[in-house]
Amino acid sequence: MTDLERFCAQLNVDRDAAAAALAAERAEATSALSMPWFARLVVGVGAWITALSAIGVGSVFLFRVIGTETTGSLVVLGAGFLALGLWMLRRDGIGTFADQLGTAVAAAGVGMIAGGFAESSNALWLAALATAFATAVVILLTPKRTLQFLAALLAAVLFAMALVVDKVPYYLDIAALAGPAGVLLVLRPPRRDLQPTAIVLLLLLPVLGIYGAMDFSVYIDSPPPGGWFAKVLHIGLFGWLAMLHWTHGGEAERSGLKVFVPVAAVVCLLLPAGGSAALVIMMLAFVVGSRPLALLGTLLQIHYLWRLYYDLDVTLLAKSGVLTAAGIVLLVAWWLLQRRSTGARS
Amino acid sequence: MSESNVETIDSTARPIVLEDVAALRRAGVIDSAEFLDAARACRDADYWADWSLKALLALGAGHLLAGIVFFFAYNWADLPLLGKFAVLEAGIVLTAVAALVVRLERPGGQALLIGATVLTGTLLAVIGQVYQTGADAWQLFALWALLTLPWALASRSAAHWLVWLVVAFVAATTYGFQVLIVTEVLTYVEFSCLSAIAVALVLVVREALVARGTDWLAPGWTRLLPAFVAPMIVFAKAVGYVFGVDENLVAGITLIVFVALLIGIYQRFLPDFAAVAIGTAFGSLFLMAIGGRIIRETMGFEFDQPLQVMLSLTVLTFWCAGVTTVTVKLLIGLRRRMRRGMHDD
Repeated sequence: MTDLERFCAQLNVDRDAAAAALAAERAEATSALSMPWFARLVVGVGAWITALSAIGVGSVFLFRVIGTETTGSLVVLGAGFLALGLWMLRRDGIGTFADQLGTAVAAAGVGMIAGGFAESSNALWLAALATAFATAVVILLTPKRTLQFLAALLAAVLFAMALVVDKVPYYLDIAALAGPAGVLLVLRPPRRDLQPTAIVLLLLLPVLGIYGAMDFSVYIDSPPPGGWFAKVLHIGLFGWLAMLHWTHGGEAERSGLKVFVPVAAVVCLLLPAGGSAALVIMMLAFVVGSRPLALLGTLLQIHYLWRLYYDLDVTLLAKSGVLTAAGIVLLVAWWLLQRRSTGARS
Repeated sequence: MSESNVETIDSTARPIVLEDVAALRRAGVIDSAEFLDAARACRDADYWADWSLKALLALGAGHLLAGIVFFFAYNWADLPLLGKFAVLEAGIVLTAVAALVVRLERPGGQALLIGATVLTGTLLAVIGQVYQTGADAWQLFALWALLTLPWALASRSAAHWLVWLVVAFVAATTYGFQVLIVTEVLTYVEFSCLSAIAVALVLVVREALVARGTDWLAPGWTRLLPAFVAPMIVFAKAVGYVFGVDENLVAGITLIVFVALLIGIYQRFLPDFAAVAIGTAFGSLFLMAIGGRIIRETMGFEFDQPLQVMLSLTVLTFWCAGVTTVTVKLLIGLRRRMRRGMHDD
């Protein structure tokens, strides 16, 4: 932990510029009108219900009053809602309700655009592309993180659906390519806030892995999901993050890495591909010191541990052996690191 | 001195956190290549060293325990009856004894005792499965709650009480569905209201115990969880009454009483803005539903008359916007008043 004086001195940053930037940010966060997250959630629920009702008005007008029957109209209506929502968000001195309503209306607009393009499963790629474009518009025109996250998430979901519906083989390996982009956006962020998009990119493989682990063979003829390339890629990412920690860390942290990295690489190989992505998210959280990412990675890791039970390719006995061995190795690593840590402190 | 000035001065004195580094990046004070160095400068090395050890321990223990569970799951069908009981009973004894050894004041001891409680339920389920006792599901949960009550009493752990209360609640709910509603002693709506009142009583007991100095019950979630669950149980029934699905008014009245009590008590006597926000949320959603019903009765939502539907939906949109705007104003006002009250104290 450091204060502003030491921070600026350490990084050779203009202290006055930093103080001014932080004062503006913190004044907004602590103003009398700003509310804690749960109160914003209350207002948000009301705003989303209002937005749904407004969407109902638009839809009835378009499909019942005018009587249009083409899905292109839905795209036009969606573009209108997106424009209206962005206009609301870009106004000065916007209140909490208008802020939430603008987000809801714009998000509904993006959803309508996606729905209009995805009129049939053949157009999923087009819908994903259109949603990605709408996300870019959102990023360019407003700093709203919730809206950016929702739009990027929808684009990612459509992309994943297109991969599966078009029976693209090794879809997990293709989705894994989003991971490095997400890691890069967290470690070297551009000036425009792209953190919500980074989170979506980091989540693409683990979430798609949850789908890949389910047995939908009754409903859909799924392609081979792949996953080995994804595992190797994530071991590489994990190693790179460990190297960053090595170069930025002290001697005590370096010695810990010598034990932990090989163990983690083995665990990455044993777990499903999504589990290795979760481990990368945990390592990323550790390197930059992000508690939300740490929580996200931990929850995903717990899920993948549990999900292994439903993996139909191996017997329960084999899974039991793998998990027990991994558990023992991890506990030995923990014991070694704890001893070293206690020794260093004493 | 104005509030914004106070914030400006405070902002330079507070420690820098990762969110601040992101704000500095957005403001262009640091560039992309400097971000990692900046993030590392404000990273709490001791916290993350501790976190990594705990994560490693949790991952290791999680893998090992899952491996053991999978092993028994694989061999479960082939295990003799005595073997099945022996495994579970040994698990109960081991976790309970280990909890005493580790000591109940420590998180590890409390977690082990929760494990013993969960295993007791599993043992009862296996007994029911093996001997086909013909008992109703509520009897299993009631017995489970009864047998594990001493551990809950001994635990002095809010998490343990949560587990025990969930078991007891499931027992009461299944009893309600399998006995009280079937025999027409109570209607579904009446039973839901009683369940909600029971949860509210848990909150009352919690407040009384905390007021008498029971520190382990003091964390905020032990208040907010029942404060949310109690109105949640009756909310759907209350909205059902508004839209004519149910004919029993009692759920609506119960919800209104809960909302009034939550806002009144946690605004005036035990200031807690989160609990006030919960009450306000349920109140505003209920008001929206009432508006929807009035619009349906007076203007209609007949889809073969598109213009009328459009008009009704427009009025509904304005109604919802109005209710939410009033909610915002109310929350801001209540928060200001609570802050002022705290400063006065």
